[in-house]
This record gives sequence, C-alpha cells and structure tokens, in this order.
Amino acid sequence: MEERLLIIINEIRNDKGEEHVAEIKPELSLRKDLGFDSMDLATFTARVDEEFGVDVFETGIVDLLSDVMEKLG
Amino acid sequence: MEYFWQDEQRNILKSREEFIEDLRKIQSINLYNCEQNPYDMMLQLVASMLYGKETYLLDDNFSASELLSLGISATDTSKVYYIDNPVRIKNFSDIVSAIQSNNWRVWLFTSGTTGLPKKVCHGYGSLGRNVRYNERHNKDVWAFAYKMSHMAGVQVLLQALVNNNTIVYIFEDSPQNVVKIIKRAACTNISATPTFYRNLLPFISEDLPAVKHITLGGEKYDENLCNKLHQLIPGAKIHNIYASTETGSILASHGNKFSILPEYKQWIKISPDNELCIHKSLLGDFSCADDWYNTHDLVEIDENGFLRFLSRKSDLINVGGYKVNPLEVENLIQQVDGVEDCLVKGKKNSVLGSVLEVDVVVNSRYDAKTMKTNIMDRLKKELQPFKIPRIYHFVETIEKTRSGKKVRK
Repeated sequence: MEERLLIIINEIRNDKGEEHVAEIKPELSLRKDLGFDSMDLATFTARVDEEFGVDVFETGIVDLLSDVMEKLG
Repeated sequence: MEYFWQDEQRNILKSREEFIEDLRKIQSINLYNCEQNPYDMMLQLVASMLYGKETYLLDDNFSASELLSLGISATDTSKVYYIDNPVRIKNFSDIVSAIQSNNWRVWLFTSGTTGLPKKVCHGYGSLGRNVRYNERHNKDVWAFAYKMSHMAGVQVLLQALVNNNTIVYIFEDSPQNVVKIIKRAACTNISATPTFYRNLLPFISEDLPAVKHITLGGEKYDENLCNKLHQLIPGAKIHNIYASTETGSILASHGNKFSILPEYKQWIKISPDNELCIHKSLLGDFSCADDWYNTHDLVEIDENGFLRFLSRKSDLINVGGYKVNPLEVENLIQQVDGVEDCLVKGKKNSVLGSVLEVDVVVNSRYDAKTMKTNIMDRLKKELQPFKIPRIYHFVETIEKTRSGKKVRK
C-alpha cells in the first residue's frame, strides 16, 4: 500500500515540478509537509479511489497520511 | 457504370433503374422503419414519401427496453401500410417530385445526450429548407457518413435524391476503407461529424482531388480539425452546419462564425443567458411549451453580427465552483503532437465536486508518460490551473453515442 501511495504522491508532485519524496511517513501532513492545495487533494483522492476503491475524503477532511492509511485498511 | 447506390461493405450496387424497380416491387410500408440494411431503410423511407405515409425512423440496434422508452412496443415495429394502388413510377423525376411535394412526414428521435429521447416530426418544409437543387449539383457524388435513421442522414439523402446524385454509403466502415472508397468512387461531397473526420485523418496519405465540399456538423466546431482537413484536401471547401433533430439545419458557416440568413433573422434570438433560441416556425413538430425553443447552446454575436458558438450549457463542468468548458480543453490537447483524440470529463469528487479527467488516444509512436507531461506543459501555458485535467487515461478509442458524438457522461 505504501509503495502505491508513494507513486501517487510523487506523480502529483512531479506534475507541479516539485521534487519526489523518498518515503511514506505516517506523520506527514498532506497540506503542510507535501504542500498539497485543494486541487492536489482532489487529484490525490481521485487517484487513490482509482487504485484502492476508497474515497478517503468521503466522510470529511483528512490531513495526515496515517489517516489515509487507516481508511485504506 | 454509374450507380445510384454503392455500399461496398454489403456488396450492394444499384443503378437508378434497379432502384426504381425495387421501389415498384414494394407492397407494404413500415410504420416503424428499422431496417438493418441501409439500402432497405432508404428504400422504405423513399416509399413512405412517394405514398405520403407517416413513418418513424428507428436505429436498427435499439433494444426492446430502449424502444419502450420511446413509447414503442415490440409488436408495434411490425405495423405496416399495405399498398393497394401502386403509384406509377416512370422515371427518377417522379420520385423527386413526390419528395418535394411535402406530402410526407417522418418522425425522428433525438439521441438523448441532453435528456430523455424526444420525437420530432419533419416534412420537406423543415428538412428540405436547405436542400440545394440546381444544375451545379447534378454531378455530385455523396459519401454518406451518417446513420440513415438520423436527421443528418435524411438531410443528406434528400440533397442527393433531388439532384439525382450517386450515394456512396461509408458509415461504420473502417477509416482505412473509407478513405480508399472516397478516392475510388471519386466522391465530391462528404458530410459527417468532426469525430468521423478525426478518425480519418491518419489515413489520408494522398490527395483526394475529387472532393470539393466537406461539411461538418453535429458537434462543436473544431478549428484544428478544419485546418488539418484543409491541408490534406486543399481542393475542398469546408462548411460547418448548425443543426439538431429539433431544428433541422439552421445555420452554416465557413469557419467558426455563422451568419444568419436575412429571412431567418426574425426567427432566431438570443436569450438573456446568451442561449440560442429558435422560433417554432423553423422547427420540426414536437412538444414545445413555448413559441421559442431554447437550444441551450451558448452563443455570442460579434460587432459584425456573426454568431459564434461557445459551448453547450450542459457540457460545462463545475470544478470547485469554477465552470470549465471541456471543449476548450480538448481543443488544446488535440494540438499536442501525437494526440489523435481526447475526451475531457468531470469525475465526481468529494473535495471539489468534480475533477477533470481526460481519456487520450495517442499515436503508437509515443509513450503515455511523455505524452502526459507534454499535454500538461502545453495546458499550463494556455489555461488557468483549474481547467487542467489531473487524471489521465490513455485509451485505445473514445466511446461514441449512436449518432457518433463523444459520450460525455
């Protein structure tokens, strides 16, 4: 799961011309640490939904990667 | 030998005499015309015109439930009118006279891309309005690239019939074959959707000198496509038609700017929301609550009085409160080298309401990862960020509706 999440995150960062992150850390904040704006978050949700079949933002706002990983089980 | 009807896919070649003979042999006319073979459908349609009988044109591949949604039961489709007193057809002119008599009615169904299917009744008064009938057209050879059961198909059929032209049926053939047939049959006129031409482009490797008129209709004007067609077939004039099942063909242009004919000016108006509205006197017959039919097409009129189409209102995608016109985005993506076709859609999203996703068909010489970067680089230069699709699917083909339009929902 971590590997696939890492690919999605780096795809989004790559599209914005930002450096790849090396590894997934549960304490990382999508907004503060990864610099995701609302468009990036929407993209992240859609891509995660495609990969895992789970809409992680469906029941509210998520920020930490640990929250995302918990929803993905 | 010069044929009236050529269909290479089905190996059907008919001279005018054979066509007239086939008409003479008809003993009954279908109330619901859903013939699988386009020649048979055409024959039945012309017979209904000759005898002044009302007929419904149906796609041959409607399922029973689709027919029911149109209010037609399975048993209805076998209803016929029997011909007791056959009309004496001496020659082709008799057929032309009958068609121009406006003594017939044909019912068509909208493709339902913007709502529930709707049935519309047309006669020669509304469908023949823009038929050009004179000596300049008597040598035209029509490449027939629409379904016979759709308004555009009937329109092309009328144009070809009244001018005694040859019809070369190419709809649903492979793009490679279509190009070969157009050349071999020396087609002078082609009328089709932009999507149809887009599929042909990669296969037009040599000039098609016989082609003199290329008409596009049924979808938004595509400037890139028109430019490419002009480069590949320089001897042809390119026309854009604004038409719908409800209206028949109303406006024509040589580019993105449509002029309104003086005789139509009082029957065409723009609503306060910039939507094109057409008076019922120019329409086919259907249940329209008002004297004016709102097409929901967004338009603007420039300082010289030309009309320009901006978008169909229903096509706009709301991304976080921003309205995106997918056609604008597609137009730019189409300009990226290696892109053969694309479709921008809204995908339901719990963060922004919708996010833009795009299906892209790329030339096999390009790889998907590079193409995504190339497309995004181009869009970043030309568009506000919210208009740039973030989700990319590289696909083999873009799904089309039964009328050949892209499936946007």
